[in-house]
Amino acid sequence: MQYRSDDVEKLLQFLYLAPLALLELQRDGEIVMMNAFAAQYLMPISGGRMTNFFDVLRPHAPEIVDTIAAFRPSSGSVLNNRRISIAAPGREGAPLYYSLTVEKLEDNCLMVALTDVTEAVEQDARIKQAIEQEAVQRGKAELAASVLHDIGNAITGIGTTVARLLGGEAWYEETALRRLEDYLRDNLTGLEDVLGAGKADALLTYLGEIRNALHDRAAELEKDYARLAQITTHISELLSLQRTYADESQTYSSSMQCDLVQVLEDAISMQAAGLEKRSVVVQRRYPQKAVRIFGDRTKLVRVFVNLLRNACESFDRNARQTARRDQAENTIEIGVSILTGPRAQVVISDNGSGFEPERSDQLFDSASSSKSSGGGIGLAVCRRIVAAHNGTIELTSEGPGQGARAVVELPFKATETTDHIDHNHQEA
Amino acid sequence: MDFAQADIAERLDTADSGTLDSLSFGVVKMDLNDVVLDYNDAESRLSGLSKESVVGRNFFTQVAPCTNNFMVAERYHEHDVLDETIEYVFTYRMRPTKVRLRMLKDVRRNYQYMLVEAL
Ligand SMILES: Nc1ncnc2c1ncn2[C@@H]1O[C@H](COP(=O)(O)OP(=O)(O)OP(=O)(O)O)[C@@H](O)[C@H]1O
Ligand SMILES: [Mg+2]
Repeated sequence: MQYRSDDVEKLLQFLYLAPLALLELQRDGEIVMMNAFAAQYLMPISGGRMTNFFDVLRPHAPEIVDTIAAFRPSSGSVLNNRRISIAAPGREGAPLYYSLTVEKLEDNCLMVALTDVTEAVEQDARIKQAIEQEAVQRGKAELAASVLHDIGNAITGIGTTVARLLGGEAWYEETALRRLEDYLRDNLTGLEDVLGAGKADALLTYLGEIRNALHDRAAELEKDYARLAQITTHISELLSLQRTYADESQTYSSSMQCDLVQVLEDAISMQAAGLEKRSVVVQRRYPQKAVRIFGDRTKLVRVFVNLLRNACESFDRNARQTARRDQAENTIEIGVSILTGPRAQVVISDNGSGFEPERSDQLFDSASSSKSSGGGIGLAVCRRIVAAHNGTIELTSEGPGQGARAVVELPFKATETTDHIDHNHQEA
Repeated sequence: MDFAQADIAERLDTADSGTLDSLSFGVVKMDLNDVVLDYNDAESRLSGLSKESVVGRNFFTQVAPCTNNFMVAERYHEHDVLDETIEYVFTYRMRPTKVRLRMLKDVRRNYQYMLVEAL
Protein backbone atom coordinates (compact mmCIF):
# COMPACT_ATOMS: atom_id res chain seq x y z
CA MET A 1 0.00 0.00 0.00
CA GLN A 2 1.25 3.45 -0.81
CA TYR A 3 0.74 6.35 1.61
CA ARG A 4 0.78 9.93 0.50
CA SER A 5 3.16 11.92 2.62
CA ASP A 6 0.41 13.89 4.39
CA ASP A 7 -1.34 10.60 5.23
CA VAL A 8 1.85 9.44 6.87
CA GLU A 9 2.03 12.76 8.68
CA LYS A 10 -1.53 12.27 9.98
CA LEU A 11 -0.83 8.74 11.07
CA LEU A 12 2.25 9.90 12.88
CA GLN A 13 0.34 12.66 14.65
CA PHE A 14 -2.38 10.18 15.57
CA LEU A 15 0.09 7.88 17.28
CA TYR A 16 2.09 10.73 18.70
CA LEU A 17 -0.90 12.42 20.33
CA ALA A 18 -2.86 9.29 21.32
CA PRO A 19 -3.86 9.79 24.96
CA LEU A 20 -2.01 6.78 26.26
CA ALA A 21 1.66 6.00 26.41
CA LEU A 22 2.92 3.81 23.55
CA LEU A 23 6.45 2.48 23.28
CA GLU A 24 8.32 0.10 21.07
CA LEU A 25 11.21 -1.70 22.75
CA GLN A 26 14.02 -4.01 21.77
CA ARG A 27 14.33 -7.22 23.74
CA ASP A 28 16.83 -5.55 26.12
CA GLY A 29 14.39 -2.72 26.84
CA GLU A 30 16.02 -0.10 24.61
CA ILE A 31 13.39 2.38 23.44
CA VAL A 32 13.00 2.44 19.67
CA MET A 33 9.88 4.62 19.50
CA MET A 34 7.71 6.37 22.00
CA ASN A 35 4.88 8.84 21.78
CA ALA A 36 4.23 12.07 23.66
CA PHE A 37 2.26 10.55 26.54
CA ALA A 38 5.02 8.04 27.12
CA ALA A 39 7.42 10.89 27.76
CA GLN A 40 4.83 12.72 29.84
CA TYR A 41 4.31 9.71 32.12
CA LEU A 42 7.81 8.33 32.25
CA MET A 43 10.10 11.37 32.33
CA PRO A 44 9.20 12.31 35.91
CA ILE A 45 10.01 8.81 37.19
CA SER A 46 13.04 8.18 35.01
CA GLY A 47 15.49 10.55 36.59
CA GLY A 48 16.10 12.03 33.14
CA ARG A 49 17.49 8.83 31.58
CA MET A 50 14.98 7.70 29.03
CA THR A 51 16.80 5.45 26.65
CA ASN A 52 15.97 2.09 28.23
CA PHE A 53 12.47 1.22 29.48
CA PHE A 54 13.73 -1.48 31.83
CA ASP A 55 16.11 0.99 33.49
CA VAL A 56 13.22 3.41 34.00
CA LEU A 57 10.97 0.76 35.51
CA ARG A 58 13.46 -1.28 37.54
CA PRO A 59 13.68 0.99 40.62
CA HIS A 60 9.87 1.07 40.89
CA ALA A 61 8.78 -2.42 39.85
CA PRO A 62 11.71 -4.82 39.43
CA GLU A 63 9.39 -7.86 39.29
CA ILE A 64 7.71 -6.44 36.20
CA VAL A 65 11.04 -6.05 34.42
CA ASP A 66 11.88 -9.65 35.33
CA THR A 67 8.53 -10.89 34.02
CA ILE A 68 9.06 -9.15 30.69
CA ALA A 69 12.67 -10.28 30.35
CA ALA A 70 11.74 -13.86 31.25
CA PHE A 71 9.07 -14.12 28.55
CA ARG A 72 10.35 -16.88 26.25
CA PRO A 73 7.89 -17.29 23.34
CA SER A 74 8.78 -15.27 20.27
CA SER A 75 5.43 -13.52 20.32
CA GLY A 76 2.35 -13.19 22.54
CA SER A 77 0.86 -11.36 25.44
CA VAL A 78 3.43 -10.68 28.15
CA LEU A 79 1.41 -8.52 30.55
CA ASN A 80 -2.23 -7.52 30.41
CA ASN A 81 -3.33 -4.39 32.26
CA ARG A 82 -0.96 -5.06 35.13
CA ARG A 83 -1.32 -2.37 37.77
CA ILE A 84 1.89 -0.97 39.20
CA SER A 85 2.30 1.65 41.89
CA ILE A 86 5.11 4.10 41.63
CA ALA A 87 6.49 6.44 44.24
CA ALA A 88 6.51 9.68 42.30
CA PRO A 89 8.35 12.85 43.16
CA GLY A 90 6.20 15.91 43.76
CA ARG A 91 3.18 14.03 45.08
CA GLU A 92 3.92 14.07 48.81
CA GLY A 93 4.23 10.34 49.14
CA ALA A 94 1.02 9.52 47.30
CA PRO A 95 1.92 6.90 44.70
CA LEU A 96 1.03 7.03 41.02
CA TYR A 97 -0.75 4.03 39.55
CA TYR A 98 -0.04 2.93 36.01
CA SER A 99 -1.70 0.14 34.13
CA LEU A 100 0.75 -1.70 31.91
CA THR A 101 0.15 -3.91 28.87
CA VAL A 102 3.07 -5.53 27.05
CA GLU A 103 2.79 -7.47 23.82
CA LYS A 104 5.67 -9.26 22.16
CA LEU A 105 5.39 -8.85 18.39
CA GLU A 106 8.65 -10.36 17.30
CA ASP A 107 11.77 -11.67 18.87
CA ASN A 108 13.34 -8.25 19.14
CA CYS A 109 10.18 -6.12 19.27
CA LEU A 110 7.98 -5.40 22.28
CA MET A 111 4.98 -3.03 22.24
CA VAL A 112 4.10 -1.32 25.50
CA ALA A 113 0.90 0.54 26.33
CA LEU A 114 0.69 2.41 29.59
CA THR A 115 -2.17 4.42 31.11
CA ASP A 116 -2.33 6.50 34.24
CA VAL A 117 -5.07 5.03 36.46
CA THR A 118 -4.15 6.98 39.58
CA GLU A 119 -7.40 8.90 39.66
CA ALA A 120 -9.54 5.79 39.29
CA VAL A 121 -7.58 3.96 42.00
CA GLU A 122 -7.83 6.89 44.39
CA GLN A 123 -11.54 7.22 43.74
CA ASP A 124 -12.09 3.51 44.38
CA ALA A 125 -10.20 3.82 47.63
CA ARG A 126 -12.25 6.83 48.67
CA ILE A 127 -15.53 5.08 47.92
CA LYS A 128 -14.44 1.94 49.73
CA GLN A 129 -13.43 3.94 52.78
CA ALA A 130 -16.70 5.86 52.80
CA ILE A 131 -18.70 2.64 52.59
CA GLU A 132 -16.74 1.11 55.44
CA GLN A 133 -17.16 4.18 57.65
CA GLU A 134 -20.85 4.24 56.91
CA ALA A 135 -21.21 0.59 57.81
CA VAL A 136 -19.30 0.98 61.08
CA GLN A 137 -21.36 3.99 62.08
CA ARG A 138 -24.61 2.37 61.15
CA GLY A 139 -23.61 -0.79 63.03
CA LYS A 140 -22.81 1.21 66.16
CA ALA A 141 -26.05 3.13 66.00
CA GLU A 142 -28.06 -0.02 65.43
CA LEU A 143 -26.38 -1.86 68.27
CA ALA A 144 -26.96 1.05 70.62
CA ALA A 145 -30.57 1.34 69.53
CA SER A 146 -31.25 -2.34 70.02
CA VAL A 147 -29.59 -2.48 73.46
CA LEU A 148 -31.57 0.55 74.54
CA HIS A 149 -34.73 -1.02 73.18
CA ASP A 150 -34.18 -4.20 75.21
CA ILE A 151 -33.44 -2.28 78.39
CA GLY A 152 -36.53 -0.20 77.66
CA ASN A 153 -38.66 -3.32 77.51
CA ALA A 154 -37.30 -4.57 80.84
CA ILE A 155 -37.97 -1.21 82.48
CA THR A 156 -41.49 -1.26 81.10
CA GLY A 157 -42.00 -4.56 82.94
CA ILE A 158 -40.84 -3.01 86.23
CA GLY A 159 -43.10 -0.02 85.59
CA THR A 160 -46.14 -2.24 85.17
CA THR A 161 -45.40 -4.10 88.42
CA VAL A 162 -44.92 -0.88 90.33
CA ALA A 163 -48.16 0.51 88.94
CA ARG A 164 -50.00 -2.60 90.10
CA LEU A 165 -48.52 -2.25 93.60
CA LEU A 166 -49.53 1.41 93.71
CA GLY A 167 -53.07 0.75 92.60
CA GLY A 168 -53.48 -2.14 95.08
CA GLU A 169 -56.23 -2.11 97.78
CA ALA A 170 -55.59 -0.94 101.33
CA TRP A 171 -54.04 -3.64 103.47
CA TYR A 172 -56.50 -6.39 104.40
CA GLU A 173 -54.59 -7.12 107.66
CA GLU A 174 -55.34 -3.65 108.97
CA THR A 175 -59.09 -4.09 108.48
CA ALA A 176 -58.99 -7.53 110.03
CA LEU A 177 -57.23 -6.17 113.11
CA ARG A 178 -59.80 -3.40 113.43
CA ARG A 179 -62.60 -5.95 113.27
CA LEU A 180 -60.89 -7.98 116.00
CA GLU A 181 -60.58 -4.86 118.18
CA ASP A 182 -64.28 -4.05 117.67
CA TYR A 183 -65.25 -7.61 118.54
CA LEU A 184 -63.20 -7.59 121.74
CA ARG A 185 -64.54 -4.19 122.75
CA ASP A 186 -68.11 -5.45 122.32
CA ASN A 187 -67.34 -8.43 124.55
CA LEU A 188 -65.21 -6.54 127.03
CA THR A 189 -67.11 -7.71 130.16
CA GLY A 190 -66.78 -11.39 129.34
CA LEU A 191 -63.13 -10.88 128.56
CA GLU A 192 -62.48 -9.12 131.91
CA ASP A 193 -63.98 -12.12 133.64
CA VAL A 194 -61.47 -14.40 132.04
CA LEU A 195 -58.35 -12.18 132.02
CA GLY A 196 -59.00 -10.00 135.03
CA ALA A 197 -59.87 -6.28 135.06
CA GLY A 198 -57.30 -3.99 133.39
CA LYS A 199 -55.75 -6.85 131.43
CA ALA A 200 -58.50 -6.76 128.79
CA ASP A 201 -57.99 -3.00 128.36
CA ALA A 202 -54.27 -3.47 128.02
CA LEU A 203 -54.85 -6.11 125.31
CA LEU A 204 -57.06 -3.69 123.38
CA THR A 205 -54.44 -0.93 123.59
CA TYR A 206 -51.79 -3.39 122.45
CA LEU A 207 -53.84 -4.42 119.43
CA GLY A 208 -54.46 -0.76 118.58
CA GLU A 209 -50.73 -0.09 118.64
CA ILE A 210 -50.02 -3.00 116.31
CA ARG A 211 -52.70 -1.73 113.96
CA ASN A 212 -51.24 1.79 113.95
CA ALA A 213 -47.74 0.51 113.32
CA LEU A 214 -49.06 -1.57 110.42
CA HIS A 215 -50.84 1.46 109.03
CA ASP A 216 -47.69 3.58 109.22
CA ARG A 217 -45.65 0.93 107.44
CA ALA A 218 -48.26 0.61 104.70
CA ALA A 219 -48.20 4.39 104.20
CA GLU A 220 -44.41 4.35 104.07
CA LEU A 221 -44.36 1.55 101.52
CA GLU A 222 -46.86 3.40 99.39
CA LYS A 223 -44.58 6.41 99.43
CA ASP A 224 -41.67 4.18 98.37
CA TYR A 225 -43.76 2.72 95.53
CA ALA A 226 -44.60 6.20 94.36
CA ARG A 227 -40.92 7.10 94.37
CA LEU A 228 -40.09 3.89 92.50
CA ALA A 229 -42.74 4.73 89.92
CA GLN A 230 -41.24 8.18 89.51
CA ILE A 231 -37.77 6.72 89.04
CA THR A 232 -38.91 4.15 86.45
CA THR A 233 -40.71 6.85 84.48
CA HIS A 234 -37.58 8.95 84.62
CA ILE A 235 -35.42 6.05 83.40
CA SER A 236 -37.88 5.33 80.59
CA GLU A 237 -37.74 8.94 79.51
CA LEU A 238 -33.94 8.96 79.57
CA LEU A 239 -33.86 5.75 77.54
CA SER A 240 -36.23 7.00 74.93
CA LEU A 241 -34.20 10.18 74.63
CA GLN A 242 -31.01 8.12 74.21
CA ARG A 243 -32.76 6.01 71.59
CA THR A 244 -33.58 9.13 69.66
CA TYR A 245 -29.89 9.99 69.60
CA ALA A 246 -28.85 6.45 68.71
CA ASP A 247 -31.37 6.33 65.88
CA GLU A 248 -30.66 9.77 64.55
CA SER A 249 -26.90 9.67 64.94
CA GLN A 250 -26.64 9.54 61.17
CA THR A 251 -28.06 12.93 60.40
CA TYR A 252 -30.82 13.12 57.85
CA SER A 253 -29.98 15.34 54.94
CA SER A 254 -32.79 16.97 53.04
CA SER A 255 -30.87 16.49 49.82
CA MET A 256 -31.14 12.69 50.06
CA GLN A 257 -33.59 11.10 47.73
CA CYS A 258 -34.91 7.64 47.23
CA ASP A 259 -37.52 5.71 45.35
CA LEU A 260 -40.43 4.92 47.65
CA VAL A 261 -41.45 1.76 45.81
CA GLN A 262 -37.90 0.44 46.07
CA VAL A 263 -37.87 1.25 49.77
CA LEU A 264 -41.08 -0.75 50.22
CA GLU A 265 -39.80 -3.66 48.16
CA ASP A 266 -36.61 -3.71 50.24
CA ALA A 267 -38.68 -3.79 53.41
CA ILE A 268 -40.80 -6.63 52.02
CA SER A 269 -37.76 -8.71 51.15
CA MET A 270 -36.24 -8.05 54.57
CA GLN A 271 -39.46 -9.29 56.16
CA ALA A 272 -39.82 -12.15 53.65
CA ALA A 273 -39.22 -14.93 56.19
CA GLY A 274 -41.91 -13.62 58.54
CA LEU A 275 -44.39 -13.22 55.70
CA GLU A 276 -43.72 -16.69 54.37
CA LYS A 277 -43.97 -18.35 57.78
CA ARG A 278 -47.53 -17.04 58.13
CA SER A 279 -48.43 -17.60 54.46
CA VAL A 280 -49.22 -13.92 54.06
CA VAL A 281 -50.55 -12.74 50.71
CA VAL A 282 -49.03 -9.35 49.88
CA GLN A 283 -51.05 -7.21 47.50
CA ARG A 284 -49.34 -4.19 45.97
CA ARG A 285 -50.87 -1.11 44.39
CA TYR A 286 -48.06 1.09 43.12
CA PRO A 287 -48.10 3.99 40.64
CA GLN A 288 -46.58 3.12 37.30
CA LYS A 289 -43.72 5.59 37.59
CA ALA A 290 -40.99 5.80 40.18
CA VAL A 291 -41.97 7.85 43.23
CA ARG A 292 -38.94 9.93 44.21
CA ILE A 293 -39.18 11.14 47.78
CA PHE A 294 -36.84 13.11 50.01
CA GLY A 295 -35.43 10.84 52.61
CA ASP A 296 -32.91 8.48 54.05
CA ARG A 297 -33.48 5.16 52.38
CA THR A 298 -32.09 2.97 55.17
CA LYS A 299 -34.12 4.60 57.89
CA LEU A 300 -37.34 4.49 55.92
CA VAL A 301 -36.78 0.82 55.16
CA ARG A 302 -36.58 0.23 58.93
CA VAL A 303 -39.88 2.02 59.42
CA PHE A 304 -41.68 -0.15 56.88
CA VAL A 305 -40.01 -3.32 58.12
CA ASN A 306 -41.45 -2.59 61.56
CA LEU A 307 -44.92 -1.93 60.16
CA LEU A 308 -44.80 -5.20 58.23
CA ARG A 309 -43.48 -7.04 61.30
CA ASN A 310 -46.25 -5.63 63.44
CA ALA A 311 -48.81 -6.75 60.90
CA CYS A 312 -47.28 -10.23 60.79
CA GLU A 313 -47.23 -10.44 64.56
CA SER A 314 -50.86 -9.41 64.69
CA PHE A 315 -51.74 -12.53 62.68
CA ASP A 316 -50.22 -14.61 65.49
CA ARG A 317 -52.40 -12.86 68.10
CA ASN A 318 -55.40 -13.41 65.90
CA ALA A 319 -54.67 -17.11 65.68
CA ARG A 320 -54.37 -17.37 69.47
CA GLN A 321 -57.47 -15.38 70.27
CA THR A 322 -59.99 -16.87 67.88
CA ALA A 323 -60.02 -20.61 67.60
CA ARG A 324 -61.70 -20.52 64.21
CA ARG A 325 -60.45 -17.88 61.77
CA ASP A 326 -63.12 -16.06 59.76
CA GLN A 327 -60.73 -14.95 57.06
CA ALA A 328 -59.19 -17.73 55.12
CA GLU A 329 -55.97 -15.88 54.30
CA ASN A 330 -53.57 -13.55 56.05
CA THR A 331 -53.45 -10.54 53.77
CA ILE A 332 -51.37 -7.36 53.76
CA GLU A 333 -52.22 -4.66 51.24
CA ILE A 334 -49.61 -2.06 50.34
CA GLY A 335 -50.76 0.97 48.39
CA VAL A 336 -48.79 4.02 47.25
CA SER A 337 -50.44 7.20 46.01
CA ILE A 338 -49.64 10.85 45.51
CA LEU A 339 -51.55 13.52 47.39
CA THR A 340 -51.54 17.25 46.80
CA GLY A 341 -48.97 19.06 48.88
CA PRO A 342 -47.28 17.20 47.20
CA ARG A 343 -46.98 14.22 49.46
CA ALA A 344 -46.55 10.51 48.88
CA GLN A 345 -48.88 8.30 50.87
CA VAL A 346 -48.24 4.69 51.81
CA VAL A 347 -51.09 2.63 53.23
CA ILE A 348 -50.31 -0.76 54.75
CA SER A 349 -53.45 -2.60 55.86
CA ASP A 350 -53.73 -6.07 57.32
CA ASN A 351 -56.58 -8.34 58.37
CA GLY A 352 -54.86 -9.29 61.62
CA SER A 353 -55.80 -8.88 65.29
CA GLY A 354 -56.56 -5.16 65.24
CA PHE A 355 -57.08 -3.30 68.54
CA GLU A 356 -59.50 -1.04 70.42
CA PRO A 357 -59.80 2.14 68.30
CA GLU A 358 -59.01 4.42 71.25
CA ARG A 359 -55.59 2.74 71.76
CA SER A 360 -54.42 3.98 68.41
CA ASP A 361 -52.45 6.95 69.76
CA GLN A 362 -51.01 5.33 72.83
CA LEU A 363 -49.40 2.58 70.71
CA PHE A 364 -46.86 5.21 69.68
CA ASP A 365 -45.73 5.77 73.28
CA SER A 366 -42.23 4.43 73.63
CA ALA A 367 -43.32 2.01 76.37
CA SER A 368 -46.31 0.44 74.65
CA SER A 369 -44.76 -2.66 73.14
CA SER A 370 -47.11 -5.53 73.82
CA LYS A 371 -44.33 -8.07 73.67
CA SER A 372 -42.06 -9.04 76.52
CA SER A 373 -38.98 -9.12 74.31
CA GLY A 374 -39.00 -6.82 71.34
CA GLY A 375 -36.53 -7.12 68.53
CA GLY A 376 -38.05 -4.40 66.39
CA ILE A 377 -37.56 -0.68 66.58
CA GLY A 378 -41.04 0.09 67.84
CA LEU A 379 -43.69 2.48 66.63
CA ALA A 380 -42.28 5.33 68.73
CA VAL A 381 -39.01 5.24 66.81
CA CYS A 382 -40.93 4.89 63.53
CA ARG A 383 -42.76 8.08 64.32
CA ARG A 384 -39.52 9.90 65.18
CA ILE A 385 -37.90 8.83 61.93
CA VAL A 386 -40.93 9.80 59.87
CA ALA A 387 -41.20 13.12 61.72
CA ALA A 388 -37.54 13.81 60.96
CA HIS A 389 -38.57 13.50 57.30
CA ASN A 390 -41.37 16.04 57.81
CA GLY A 391 -43.86 13.23 57.46
CA THR A 392 -46.65 11.71 59.52
CA ILE A 393 -47.51 8.18 60.57
CA GLU A 394 -50.82 6.87 61.95
CA LEU A 395 -52.06 3.44 62.94
CA THR A 396 -55.78 2.79 63.22
CA SER A 397 -58.14 -0.13 63.72
CA GLU A 398 -61.91 -0.42 63.83
CA GLY A 399 -61.65 -2.85 66.71
CA PRO A 400 -60.23 -6.18 67.85
CA GLY A 401 -60.38 -8.72 65.04
CA GLN A 402 -60.95 -6.02 62.44
CA GLY A 403 -57.39 -5.67 61.18
CA ALA A 404 -55.25 -2.53 61.26
CA ARG A 405 -54.25 0.21 58.84
CA ALA A 406 -50.97 2.12 58.92
CA VAL A 407 -50.74 5.35 56.93
CA VAL A 408 -47.39 7.03 56.28
CA GLU A 409 -47.15 10.34 54.45
CA LEU A 410 -43.89 11.82 53.21
CA PRO A 411 -42.96 14.92 51.18
CA PHE A 412 -42.78 14.09 47.51
CA LYS A 413 -40.18 15.36 45.03
CA ALA A 414 -42.06 18.17 43.31
CA THR A 415 -40.52 18.02 39.83
CA GLU A 416 -42.28 14.82 38.86
CA THR A 417 -45.56 15.63 40.57
CA THR A 418 -47.81 16.45 37.64
CA ASP A 419 -47.40 13.11 36.00
CA HIS A 420 -48.23 11.22 39.09
CA ILE A 421 -51.25 13.30 40.02
CA ASP A 422 -52.68 12.83 36.53
CA HIS A 423 -51.97 9.17 36.68
CA ASN A 424 -53.85 8.85 39.96
CA HIS A 425 -56.79 10.86 38.75
CA GLN A 426 -57.19 8.43 35.91
CA GLU A 427 -57.13 5.54 38.31
CA ALA A 428 -59.70 7.08 40.64
CA MET B 1 21.73 35.39 20.10
CA ASP B 2 22.92 32.54 22.24
CA PHE B 3 20.99 29.72 24.04
CA ALA B 4 22.41 30.55 27.46
CA GLN B 5 22.49 34.32 27.09
CA ALA B 6 21.16 36.10 30.21
CA ASP B 7 18.98 38.76 28.56
CA ILE B 8 17.70 36.55 25.76
CA ALA B 9 14.02 36.98 26.66
CA GLU B 10 14.11 40.77 26.08
CA ARG B 11 15.84 40.22 22.74
CA LEU B 12 13.31 37.58 21.66
CA ASP B 13 10.47 39.95 22.55
CA THR B 14 11.58 42.37 19.87
CA ALA B 15 12.87 39.85 17.31
CA ASP B 16 10.76 39.23 14.22
CA SER B 17 9.92 35.82 12.76
CA GLY B 18 12.81 35.97 10.30
CA THR B 19 15.31 36.59 13.08
CA LEU B 20 13.95 33.62 15.06
CA ASP B 21 14.27 31.42 11.98
CA SER B 22 17.94 32.31 11.64
CA LEU B 23 18.76 30.90 15.11
CA SER B 24 20.49 27.51 15.44
CA PHE B 25 18.37 26.35 18.41
CA GLY B 26 14.62 25.80 18.62
CA VAL B 27 12.37 28.60 19.86
CA VAL B 28 8.72 28.25 20.86
CA LYS B 29 7.07 31.59 21.54
CA MET B 30 3.83 31.42 23.50
CA ASP B 31 1.38 33.80 25.09
CA LEU B 32 0.80 33.45 28.85
CA ASN B 33 -1.99 30.92 28.18
CA ASP B 34 0.46 28.53 26.49
CA VAL B 35 -0.89 29.27 22.99
CA VAL B 36 1.88 29.09 20.38
CA LEU B 37 2.54 32.41 18.63
CA ASP B 38 5.72 31.51 16.78
CA TYR B 39 7.70 28.33 16.12
CA ASN B 40 11.05 28.79 14.48
CA ASP B 41 12.66 26.77 11.67
CA ALA B 42 15.16 25.01 13.93
CA GLU B 43 12.32 23.68 16.10
CA SER B 44 10.37 22.67 12.97
CA ARG B 45 13.33 20.70 11.73
CA LEU B 46 13.66 18.90 15.10
CA SER B 47 10.00 18.05 15.51
CA GLY B 48 8.95 17.63 11.89
CA LEU B 49 5.99 19.92 12.58
CA SER B 50 5.36 22.90 10.34
CA LYS B 51 4.93 26.37 11.81
CA GLU B 52 1.39 26.53 10.36
CA SER B 53 0.29 23.31 12.04
CA VAL B 54 1.42 24.54 15.43
CA VAL B 55 0.66 28.25 15.70
CA GLY B 56 -2.57 28.98 17.57
CA ARG B 57 -2.58 25.69 19.46
CA ASN B 58 -1.89 24.96 23.10
CA PHE B 59 1.71 23.87 23.33
CA PHE B 60 1.51 21.58 26.38
CA THR B 61 -1.72 19.78 25.55
CA GLN B 62 -1.97 19.90 21.75
CA VAL B 63 1.54 20.17 20.38
CA ALA B 64 3.89 18.51 22.84
CA PRO B 65 1.99 16.49 25.46
CA CYS B 66 5.34 14.93 26.34
CA THR B 67 5.98 18.10 28.35
CA ASN B 68 2.62 18.16 30.08
CA ASN B 69 3.85 17.09 33.52
CA PHE B 70 5.24 18.68 36.63
CA MET B 71 8.75 18.87 35.22
CA VAL B 72 7.83 21.27 32.44
CA ALA B 73 4.21 22.46 32.05
CA GLU B 74 3.56 22.76 35.77
CA ARG B 75 6.71 24.84 36.23
CA TYR B 76 5.31 27.40 33.81
CA HIS B 77 1.97 27.32 35.63
CA GLU B 78 3.36 27.54 39.14
CA HIS B 79 5.80 30.37 38.63
CA ASP B 80 5.32 33.98 37.65
CA VAL B 81 8.97 34.37 36.86
CA LEU B 82 10.88 31.41 35.47
CA ASP B 83 14.30 30.94 33.93
CA GLU B 84 15.43 27.36 34.28
CA THR B 85 17.39 24.96 32.13
CA ILE B 86 16.84 21.21 32.33
CA GLU B 87 17.73 18.14 30.33
CA TYR B 88 14.73 16.35 28.93
CA VAL B 89 13.68 13.76 26.39
CA PHE B 90 11.47 14.85 23.55
CA THR B 91 9.73 12.33 21.37
CA TYR B 92 10.15 13.97 18.00
CA ARG B 93 8.54 11.81 15.35
CA MET B 94 8.19 9.03 17.96
CA ARG B 95 11.95 8.89 18.52
CA PRO B 96 13.26 9.61 22.00
CA THR B 97 15.55 12.59 21.58
CA LYS B 98 17.64 14.09 24.33
CA VAL B 99 17.35 17.85 24.51
CA ARG B 100 18.24 20.75 26.74
CA LEU B 101 15.29 22.98 27.57
CA ARG B 102 15.41 26.55 28.74
CA MET B 103 12.10 27.63 30.23
CA LEU B 104 11.48 31.35 30.25
CA LYS B 105 8.55 33.22 31.69
CA ASP B 106 7.87 36.58 33.28
CA VAL B 107 4.26 37.63 33.79
CA ARG B 108 5.19 41.29 33.48
CA ARG B 109 5.87 40.60 29.80
CA ASN B 110 3.34 39.30 27.29
CA TYR B 111 5.22 36.22 26.15
CA GLN B 112 6.80 33.07 27.46
CA TYR B 113 9.40 30.95 25.65
CA MET B 114 10.80 27.51 25.46
CA LEU B 115 14.27 27.19 23.98
CA VAL B 116 15.30 23.75 22.74
CA GLU B 117 18.75 22.50 21.97
CA ALA B 118 19.32 18.91 20.77
CA LEU B 119 22.09 17.12 22.64
N1 LIG C 1 -50.81 -4.06 62.61
C1 LIG C 1 -51.12 -4.14 63.90
N2 LIG C 1 -52.21 -4.83 64.31
C2 LIG C 1 -52.48 -4.90 65.61
N3 LIG C 1 -51.78 -4.35 66.60
C3 LIG C 1 -50.70 -3.66 66.26
C4 LIG C 1 -50.31 -3.51 64.91
N4 LIG C 1 -49.18 -2.76 64.88
C5 LIG C 1 -48.90 -2.48 66.15
N5 LIG C 1 -49.76 -2.99 66.99
C6 LIG C 1 -49.77 -2.88 68.45
O1 LIG C 1 -48.93 -1.81 68.81
C7 LIG C 1 -47.94 -2.26 69.72
C8 LIG C 1 -46.70 -1.45 69.58
O2 LIG C 1 -46.00 -1.80 68.42
P1 LIG C 1 -44.46 -1.55 68.37
O3 LIG C 1 -43.98 -1.83 67.02
O4 LIG C 1 -44.19 -0.18 68.92
O5 LIG C 1 -43.85 -2.55 69.40
P2 LIG C 1 -43.79 -4.13 69.28
O6 LIG C 1 -44.07 -4.55 67.89
O7 LIG C 1 -44.67 -4.71 70.33
O8 LIG C 1 -42.31 -4.43 69.67
P3 LIG C 1 -41.06 -4.14 68.78
O9 LIG C 1 -40.26 -3.22 69.58
O10 LIG C 1 -40.43 -5.47 68.56
O11 LIG C 1 -41.50 -3.53 67.48
C9 LIG C 1 -47.79 -3.72 69.40
O12 LIG C 1 -47.29 -4.44 70.48
C10 LIG C 1 -49.21 -4.14 69.07
O13 LIG C 1 -49.94 -4.36 70.23
MG1 LIG D 1 -43.01 -3.74 66.20
